[in-house]
Amino acid sequence: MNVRTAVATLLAASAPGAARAGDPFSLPVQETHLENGLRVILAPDRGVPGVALDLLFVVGSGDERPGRTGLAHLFEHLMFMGSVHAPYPQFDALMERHGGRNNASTGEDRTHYHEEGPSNLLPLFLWLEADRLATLPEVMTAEKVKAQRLVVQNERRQSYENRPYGAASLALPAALFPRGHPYSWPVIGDHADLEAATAEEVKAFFALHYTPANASLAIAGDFDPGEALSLVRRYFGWMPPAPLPPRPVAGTGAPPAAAPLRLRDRVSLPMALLAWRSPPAFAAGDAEMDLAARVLVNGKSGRLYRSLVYDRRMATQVEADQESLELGSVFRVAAVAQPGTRADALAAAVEEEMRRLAAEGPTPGEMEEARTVILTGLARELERLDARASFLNTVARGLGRADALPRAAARYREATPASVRLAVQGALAGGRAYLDVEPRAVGPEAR
Amino acid sequence: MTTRRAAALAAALAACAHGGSPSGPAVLERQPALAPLRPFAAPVPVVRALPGGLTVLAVERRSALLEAVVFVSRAGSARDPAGCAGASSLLGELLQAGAAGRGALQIAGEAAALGGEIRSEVRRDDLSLSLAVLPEKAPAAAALLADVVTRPTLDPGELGRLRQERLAELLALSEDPHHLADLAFWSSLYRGHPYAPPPMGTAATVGGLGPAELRAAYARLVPASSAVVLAGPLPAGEALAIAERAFAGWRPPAAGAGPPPGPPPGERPRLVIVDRPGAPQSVLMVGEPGPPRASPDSLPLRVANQVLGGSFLSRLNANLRERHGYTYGAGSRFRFGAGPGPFAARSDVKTDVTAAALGELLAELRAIVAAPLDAEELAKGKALVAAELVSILESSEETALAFADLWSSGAPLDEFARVLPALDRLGARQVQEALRRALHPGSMTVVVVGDARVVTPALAPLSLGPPLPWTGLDTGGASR
Repeated sequence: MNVRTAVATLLAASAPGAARAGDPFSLPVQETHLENGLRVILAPDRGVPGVALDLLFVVGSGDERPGRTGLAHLFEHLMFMGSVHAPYPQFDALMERHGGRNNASTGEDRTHYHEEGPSNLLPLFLWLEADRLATLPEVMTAEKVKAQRLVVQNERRQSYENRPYGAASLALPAALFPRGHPYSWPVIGDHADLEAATAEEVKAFFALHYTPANASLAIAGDFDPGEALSLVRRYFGWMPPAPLPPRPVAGTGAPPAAAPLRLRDRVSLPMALLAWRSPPAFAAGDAEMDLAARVLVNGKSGRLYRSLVYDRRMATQVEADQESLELGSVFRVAAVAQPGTRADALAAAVEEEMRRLAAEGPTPGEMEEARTVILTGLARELERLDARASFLNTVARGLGRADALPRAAARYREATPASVRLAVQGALAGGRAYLDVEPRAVGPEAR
Repeated sequence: MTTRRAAALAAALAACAHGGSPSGPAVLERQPALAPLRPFAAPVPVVRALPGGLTVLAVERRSALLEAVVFVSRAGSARDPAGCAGASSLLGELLQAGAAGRGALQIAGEAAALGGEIRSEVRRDDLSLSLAVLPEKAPAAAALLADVVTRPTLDPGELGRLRQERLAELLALSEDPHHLADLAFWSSLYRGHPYAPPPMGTAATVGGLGPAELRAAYARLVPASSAVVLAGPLPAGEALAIAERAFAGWRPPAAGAGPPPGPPPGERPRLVIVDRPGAPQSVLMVGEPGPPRASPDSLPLRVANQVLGGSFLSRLNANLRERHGYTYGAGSRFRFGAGPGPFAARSDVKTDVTAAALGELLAELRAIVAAPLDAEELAKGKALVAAELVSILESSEETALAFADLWSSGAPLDEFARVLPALDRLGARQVQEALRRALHPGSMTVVVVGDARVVTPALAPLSLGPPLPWTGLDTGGASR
């Protein structure tokens, strides 16, 4: 979601009137494809002596099958468990020794791996990434799978089970998408599925999805593009090509249930979470839904903030966002109630505001504010080299080319109150999922 | 092994056949050599004192995309009078809810038109308001911040609304185990000290905050204990002029932020358990009050903390997460500020391994004090501290906030330029001496937020003494 929002802002950055000499949109980007299909994106910037690398694989929880949910994310953890020439824990130890850091993230469509640190670490980052892409399965063991399964299960507990409103995040996928849809289970997976995953399945998953042609490598920061490209060729160029794996398909299915899904969680105040299926990432209407989210909630302004939080004092907080996904996005609005307000009242107010947006569209002033906030938010993100590398990969994936930003930016220039209205109408026509999260029982403080 | 060698040989042959540099899997056999670090001069701010006493700092970052404007005052929540916890923090919101003839929605709308929203943060030692915008909008952003700081309405109706929001927010947080851990930790470490109450206040104190208390909080915002920081691509002279124009008229009636907080009390509980029946995990927090940022120990302690709990393969994370699978993560930090901010190690661990995980955590704390870091660890700690500095400088907003932090904690404003040479000189013995002065694992306070029925008996073998049950803050706690 974060990544997608940022892309939207990247595109908006080329809108007329926003330009200045250091416009984030004008940063030099060069793209190369190796013979084995690996996409390489170089964005040199000598401003600060740091470098960031983002290696994206087109695989996510949407590529899993029921019974093995969570495998894509568990696999992401296993990528750090050692390769032939950098046995565990050398991946981390070598870079940390010289000031480098790394992380990774898994979503429904994609898995990102990133490293960042002083610019002299670029050869080390590339070598480590190449070694695990070339040799990881050779040293994969059941013990490694078990060790990271325990970590991931604790991640599930910490991020969802022991966190207020975490239950809603786990329940939303099945409430919004029909059974069997690739987005109908949470990325984190079920405990039973995680426990069932074997080292052999992990190796098969790797063989199918972790290939050069299914990957995109973006580097941003302080480096010489010629030197960087020859390093990339040296470490990745020899890898044999492999066929692209099949992509999951959405199919068609029933709209979400009209009845609310009522959940109990360890919370003090009710929350209404509403979600609609919206246009896929980079499809017509996707940018419009980004703008619609900002028209509804824009910091301490926006229609829903004004009405639910400020004027009517029904909610303590409200959020709206478009999480752009390849098989169809998710447009979400969440509001936490003031004491004494029911979630149903919040949901009704949100739906009314959505219907009004669909009927009347935003005003030109609201459009301009939404564009400005999205644009500046992007510039803020783009300042960070790691975020920049990640955006470049996302944009290249969404548009087919790293240098195709102007074409996509046109969508934002062309977005009008009428096109936002149409996009919102389309989302509403598909029906919504409504989750009502209620306090489970009397909390421990009252005892 | 056999397979790998064979593949390497084939690759070497293939490379020869092409007559080029080595290619194929053989290139993976040797770790690449690293070039030396590129020399790098950390920025030093240009500083000017305005006639009213306000300090203005400009940090030029040519490669940055945004100009960040930050207002910071040393009037943090520790200056809230007893019984008024939350006043400074509510003030941070109230300032934005009306100023210079504008209402709350108008101010938010203006911030949005500039490209964002005003973020206010109130910590124990400071209050800050920030806004990052495209450089051409920096004058308007500075003017908007100046209006909310120097010409606020402090409208009682808006205060009522914000108080109601805050009470609901506190109610919501009362089910957040990390929030509960923080509350129990700070109030146990700083009993009777101004650091004890949470900056947000409690249900009991917030309910009692009226216009008089907020006016008093506002009177603590004075130019002499405040600074405005601009960081970004604008030339320093231009940035200084922008800040000066915006804040030139600020001449409040004399009052002051009040004295900085003194040393923490000596007495602390050893074990505090916050009961959360049925919780799948226990939140562990272990620590004690630490030195202020201006202490010469702060740099060696930052280096040591990278090794202890500040990096992925830190001793804490390598042990609790990687070796034992008790947790998704374990770490530690020193919260350096103007006063004696705490050191805290923390981890969320599966309920049934709470005692084992706490045992490992305490053992790591004892070990890092007992023996000096080896050369590799010392080098890693230094490299990570240096890299963190470079990483902060990528972002104008983080740069501005980092300098605001230096200023509010009373550290030298050229500290970033001093860090790299100081790291070069730092030896393992200095690091260990600083650790010995700062960390006392045998008497640290342990907070556990978890299922007391399961956790209490399990912790008995750790000899931490009888647990002190947590019943909420004495000022009213979380229940309403």
